[in-house]
Amino acid sequence: MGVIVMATITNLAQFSAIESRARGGYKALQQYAETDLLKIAAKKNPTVRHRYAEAIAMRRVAPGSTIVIPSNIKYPHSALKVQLIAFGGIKGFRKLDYDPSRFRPKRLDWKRQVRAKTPKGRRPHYLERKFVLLAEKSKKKKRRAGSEFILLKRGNTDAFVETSLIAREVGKLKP
Amino acid sequence: MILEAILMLTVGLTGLALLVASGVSGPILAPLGFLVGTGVYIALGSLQIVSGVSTNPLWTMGATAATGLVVGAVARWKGRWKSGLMVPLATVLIILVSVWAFRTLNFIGWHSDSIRYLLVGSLIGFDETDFVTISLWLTRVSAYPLFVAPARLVDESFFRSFSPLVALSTCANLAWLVYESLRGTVLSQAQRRWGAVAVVLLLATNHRFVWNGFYVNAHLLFAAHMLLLVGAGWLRIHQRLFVGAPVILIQSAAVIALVLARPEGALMTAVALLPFVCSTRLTKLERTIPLAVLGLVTLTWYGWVATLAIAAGKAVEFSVVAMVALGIAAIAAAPLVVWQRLSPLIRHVLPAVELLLWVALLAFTLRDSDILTDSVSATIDNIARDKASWGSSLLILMSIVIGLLLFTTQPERRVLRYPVTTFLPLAFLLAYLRDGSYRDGDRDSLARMFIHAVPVTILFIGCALGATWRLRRNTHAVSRSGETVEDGA
Repeated sequence: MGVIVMATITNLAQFSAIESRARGGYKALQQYAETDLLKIAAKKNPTVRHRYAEAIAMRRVAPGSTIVIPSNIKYPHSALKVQLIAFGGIKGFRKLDYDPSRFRPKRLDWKRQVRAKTPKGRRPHYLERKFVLLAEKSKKKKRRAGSEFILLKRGNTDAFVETSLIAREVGKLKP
Repeated sequence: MILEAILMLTVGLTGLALLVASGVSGPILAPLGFLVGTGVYIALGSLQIVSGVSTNPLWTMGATAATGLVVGAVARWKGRWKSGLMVPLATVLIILVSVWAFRTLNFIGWHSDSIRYLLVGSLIGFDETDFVTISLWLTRVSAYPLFVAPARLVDESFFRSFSPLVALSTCANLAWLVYESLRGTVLSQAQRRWGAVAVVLLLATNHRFVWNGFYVNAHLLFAAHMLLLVGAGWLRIHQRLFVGAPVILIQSAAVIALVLARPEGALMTAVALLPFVCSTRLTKLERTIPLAVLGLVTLTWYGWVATLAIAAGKAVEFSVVAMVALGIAAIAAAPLVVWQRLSPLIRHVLPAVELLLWVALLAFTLRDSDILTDSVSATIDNIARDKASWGSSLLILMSIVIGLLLFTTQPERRVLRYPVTTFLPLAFLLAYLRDGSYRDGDRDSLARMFIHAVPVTILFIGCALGATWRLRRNTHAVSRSGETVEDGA
């Protein structure tokens, strides 16, 4: 019994030292104001931020959206699709016949883009450059619930463009 | 909060109903019932996944509640319900207060793996399991994601009271297991109570245990069920408690949860179950049913994953083939272990398997020593130089266990000792099976996996309060009933 008591005292003695050394999610008694673990992890962990950037942004900027994805080729990669379903808060997918890397709508004004992952005035972190979201400018800038976005590919960047910006070009695409 | 409370109550009360129906009574029904209930919920949810029906968590919760209600009603009809309303009401109260308290406190422990659990849980919750990759099914399995799934229905990332409730149940079960285990020893009732309190404090003051109590991962769920598997079997053998249906129910629920909680679950469970399968002090059914459940669950899950790989035109991974083989072997072995003609061989199985683990590790090391040397070096850093937030607790626990093994003896103790002493060779073998060394730091897999063995190790230490010093074994090493006992060291 004495050994158990001594071991318990040792545990207690080193608890606060371990707690003060532990970082981020490894703290035993870390209280958060936020309840969404994905948001917490994305703030603290660049890997999480990078891996789930599209879903986090889509959920923040345009929850309940429909995403247009290509029907005839194996794109987007299932990982992107999976994270959009799991965390993106999207309504669903609509499949159209197009190549996301080659489809370049003429009327698209890239300057009107909303960088969903990048706070104002700050240069985007290299991990955040893989995603841009182009949406129509309106009074309600932040939340665009229920919109439709088409997925385009520009190099390593996934661009989600609100279809109302390029309605004519999207209208020409066949299901 | 409402759905979270309903889920926890469903799990807790279903487990309680099953235990009462099997003949268990008393306050232990609350913590024991909660963990048994998780086993039922995991079994039903996993069945939904592999059978291809809707994985809507409301169906899983409904099926779990229905199981509890039907079993409870049948038990009452047959006059087997011997529990009053006090324990169920206390269970409801404890669960409701815990849900409210842990949601309010909002303590969260996490790692990037946690997000993978949320991902799989979300896809189960949204009934989109077709999008879960084979790799995710193999690494995250189904147990923990099934408890994340209902949260997605109410737009929450996970239910914050689940892991803390598992931690509380683990503490209560540990206290009760030690208290009951010390019956019939030279200790007075007051000393047994203090012994139970002491072991719980030893566990609850461990920094990594507290962290796991809020950690979004399946480690603590695994540790809690390992404690149940070993502890229930130990009480059955050592104290003749849980005879028949209770031990079969508790161990089977634990086996289901263990296999489906972690990728290495089936292997670790097979090793932990072995002393009970080989024990001649258990009945045939007590020995065979948990083993058959292990085989059935392992074969069903990994067989299903193999069919997914084949359907996708991919090669079936070696680990999947090995698990399928383990499942088949367990099912085939279930009737064989009680075959009279094999009984002379059975007693050699435990030392043979333990030796085999070390020989296998040696063989892998001769083929590629880097993985072992890097893993051992990182593990020494983690436990002796405190690089993984364990402080000196693991070293102290190991020292106590070694001291107890050297200087004390206790009948049938090998059922407690076996999962503890086989943990290290198994863990290092896993490094070879995953083809990667362990690393130093908090994020290392083995550093996080140590919690799997900690509650069982503390149970071993707590039960040793009733052990006898080796020098005095002739005067005290007698079982309660006075029958001949095996030296279980």
